[in-house]
Order: sequence, then C-alpha cells, then structure tokens
Amino acid sequence: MIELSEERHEALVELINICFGRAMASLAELLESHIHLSVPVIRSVSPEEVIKALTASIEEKDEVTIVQQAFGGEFAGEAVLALPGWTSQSLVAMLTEQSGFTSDLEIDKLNLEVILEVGNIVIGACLGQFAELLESRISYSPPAVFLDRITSAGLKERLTTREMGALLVQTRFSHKEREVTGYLFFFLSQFCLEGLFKAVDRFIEKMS
Amino acid sequence: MSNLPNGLDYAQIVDTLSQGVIVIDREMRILLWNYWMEAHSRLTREDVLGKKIGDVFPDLDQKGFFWKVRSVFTLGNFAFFSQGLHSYIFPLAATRYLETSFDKMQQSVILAPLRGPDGQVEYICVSIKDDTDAAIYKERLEQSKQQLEIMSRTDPLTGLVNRRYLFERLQEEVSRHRRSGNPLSLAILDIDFFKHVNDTYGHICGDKVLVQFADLLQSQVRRYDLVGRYGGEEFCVILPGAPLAGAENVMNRFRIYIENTPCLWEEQEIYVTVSAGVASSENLPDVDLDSLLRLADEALLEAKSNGRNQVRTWPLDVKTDPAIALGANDPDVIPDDGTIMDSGPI
Repeated sequence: MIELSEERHEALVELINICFGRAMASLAELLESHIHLSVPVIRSVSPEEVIKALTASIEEKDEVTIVQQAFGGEFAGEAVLALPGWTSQSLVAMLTEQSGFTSDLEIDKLNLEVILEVGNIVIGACLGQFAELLESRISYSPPAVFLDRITSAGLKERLTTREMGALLVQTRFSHKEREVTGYLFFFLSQFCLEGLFKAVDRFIEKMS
Repeated sequence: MSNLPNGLDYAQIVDTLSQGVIVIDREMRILLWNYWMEAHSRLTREDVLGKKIGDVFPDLDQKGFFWKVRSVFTLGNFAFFSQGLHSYIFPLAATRYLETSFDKMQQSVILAPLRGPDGQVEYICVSIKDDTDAAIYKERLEQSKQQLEIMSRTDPLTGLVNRRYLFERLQEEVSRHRRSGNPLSLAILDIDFFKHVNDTYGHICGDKVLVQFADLLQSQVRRYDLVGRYGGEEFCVILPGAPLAGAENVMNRFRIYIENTPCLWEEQEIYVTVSAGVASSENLPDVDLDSLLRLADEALLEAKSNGRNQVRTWPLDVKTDPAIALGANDPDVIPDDGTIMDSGPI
C-alpha cells in the first residue's frame, strides 16, 4: 500500500480538482456540449482492491466497456475509463451529430473508434492538465478498448496483475442531455510515486 | 536544437527514421515532410510543402482526421488511429507484394501536439508507422484460429460435429430451453449389429457405412436439428423446439428410411437398421444435460433389448404396446397417430 500523508493528499485533491475543471472546459469546447466531472476521490489501494473499487462504483451487472491507456514520464501508470454497455450509442450520437465527427468506418468499428476517442480525450485532457500543473511531461501509449463483464476473471486479470499497488483517482463523468455516464480511474504505479511526490511537493511549496 | 554538434540538425535525423513524419500548422499546411514520406508517397517536398494536407490526401476528412486534429489543437492531447480499426489513414502503397492481401500499407498513426514559444499548441506532428507485417500476421493468426476451431469440433471420419462440440451445443440448448420454455428433445441412435458389418466386409467398409449413414441422417433431420457423432457407431441428434412426439416422428421416419436405403461399398448394397432412444424436456421437471443424455440412453437400451430397429421414448412406459414393438419392422404399422411421413419401401 502507498502511504499518502494528509498534506499530500490534500494537495493532490486540489491539483486534480483544478485540472479536471480545466479539462471539462476544453472538452466542452471540443464536443460543443457540457460534460460534468464529479469531485474526484483519491485513495491508495492494494491490487485486490482495484477490482473491488471498480465493481463498487459501477453497479452494472452487465457488460462494461473499458478503455485502457498507459502513460509514462515522471509519473507513470494506467488510466482506465469504464463505461456501462449501453453508453456507446449515446457517445456515437454525441460525436457525430453534435460535434461533427465523420468517419467511413462500418458501424461496429465506428462504435469502437468513438469509445476509444472519447477515452483518449477524457484521459488525455485530465492527465495533460495534471502534467502541466506539475510542470511535468507525459507520453501516452495508444489506448486499447475491450468489452467484458465487470465480474469476469478476464477483467480481473487485466487490471490487477501488473501493478503492485495503486493510487486510485476516481471520478464520474456525466452528460446532461444524453445518457452518458462513465468512471475514470488512474492507477499510478508505485515505481513513480517518488517522482509524483516530488512534483506535488513542488506544487505545495509554490502555493504556500 | 542547439544541443546537437555542429553540422548535424534534427531534419537530418528525422530523414533517417523508418516511419513517416509530417508537421502541419493550424491552417493544415504541410511544414515538414520527411524522406520516408517522399519514398512511400512518391511525392517530393517540392510537391507538398506549403500545401494543405487535405488537398494532398482528399479522403482524410472521411476518416475523422480533421476532427482529431482539432481535438489536438484544442486540448493539447495526443490522438491515435489504430490499424485494427482504420487499416490505413494515408493511401500509401504496401511495400510487400508477396503473400499479402493488402494493397495499401497498413498503418497506425499518432497525432502529437507541438507547442510554440508561448506554450500554445501551434503545430501537429503526424507520425505514421508501417503496420503491414503485423496486420499480415494477425490475419494469418485469425485464419489458423478459425481452422483450428473447425477442426476441434469436427469428427474427422464423418464430418459431423464431434462429441465435445455436441455437448457444448446441448448445454446451450438446455439453457435456451430454461429461458424460453420451448421444448427440447434429444435422440441417441445406434446402428444395429454394426460389428457384423465390420466382421463381414472389413473395417474400411465399416468406415464407409458410417460416413454414408451420417450423410443420410443429416439429410433426414430438420434444418435446425444438430447431428453429431457420439462415439463408434452411435450418433446424437439435438432437436430444439421439438416435443417428444415430434422428435419420435423424425427418428422413426429416419429409421424407416435407413432400413430401405442401402449403403454402397464396392458395388455391394449393404443394409443396416438403427435403434434410437428419445428423451424430451416435457417429461422432466428439471432439465439438464446429464439427465437428457441418461434418459435418451435408457430409451435406446430399451429399444435394443426389445429387438432393435425401433425408436423408444422416455418415459419408457408410454409406449409399451407390444404391437408397436413387434411391428417395428413393418412401416405400415407405425403411423397410427397419422403423423409419420410415408417413406416405405419402393
């Protein structure tokens, strides 16, 4: 488990709040519609708890779509955007009708492309702001998308085997006009916590 | 830039990369076009620099390219086009001509933000990676997977589905029955005195008879029934939606058909008969795979011990009328319920 002092925890919440706010503004500009991100919850979790945290926040018993994106740099980890199965139709409509996304892909592939892109944008916007605030840089791997049942062993394996422990940043994004709800998780790996803490300490110093 | 030794510049390095690099500005004008791009597009820098990328590649808009470009300028994020979804973004010729069905180079493309002196995203670096090899391997892997899947569920002699797949499908049908309540029947068939065929004509002939029997059985069931080889000379038919009487009819029709249809081997006509046991969901309070198999098997044993060349159903006491058991060899005796199709001897 990762030890997180109260001061750092507060600073992280503050940081993430700011960058989520900025990310929301940029997303609204791009999508020409307002996406609401709930106040993030940050906590340190053990590998076994990662899947529990997911199941607890997503009440869906059915399929979830998971967009997974690894990132590296001063702090590295994995971002996961989990969407209940039914949201993809709304997302496709949101991107194509509202914000002019065009593509010659067949419908199945278009659905995946839209989910990937929304995942990439939401994750990229939040992380990008985060890195900017911490005056750090992030490199991204291409996102991957997969469908699974939230309770299934496959999902468990994908999410828990690699990391030793994680700092979980959890938020819920929702959209008023359309039925879109999603959950965003950042798993920050233990290796890079030192780098993250250094950056956070720099931020605390600057603020005080 | 200033960190590089004298005489060396980044443009030279970018030209040595084995991937495409294009830089565009907010007006979509091409500012950089590396050597890889020249080689693969057959367009020189003189051809493209300063031109709008949409004029050089008119199909980009259809691929959501400019939407993602806008997102990179607005959000400062990275954007990706995966080969798996798009195949390609830029219509470049594939560099491999042998063993490939791709005429266009398969690509994964990344859009990365480049910032001006004030920190604003002013340019986008488009990098293009040739993924044709990976796509070819993926395609081959997919083909092998499909072949293996077919092999793993097929009985090599008869071409029917094998026991393993049969049980898988039966389990699925049991689940469907539980959800829908529609009837489900199962028949097990056994060729009578098959050992006699092997002993008289040899095993090669025995195999031929099995193959022809399988084909005939397949041809006589309903379109949505599944026929599989259960073991040696035993076969199974899953009859979704068929009540007990219906399944019994199908089996009886086949029993009479096979009795009168010879299998051919080296210009000899070999006649076989079949015994069958049928079990159905309608007589079972709790339907599961094991009970259906067990009860159909019990009915089959009853058919065998009662003189063979007959169809018996479970529960066994439903039809113990000796007239039917005795008259089982005579097709004219069977259709007293009037539902059996006429396929008597010619």
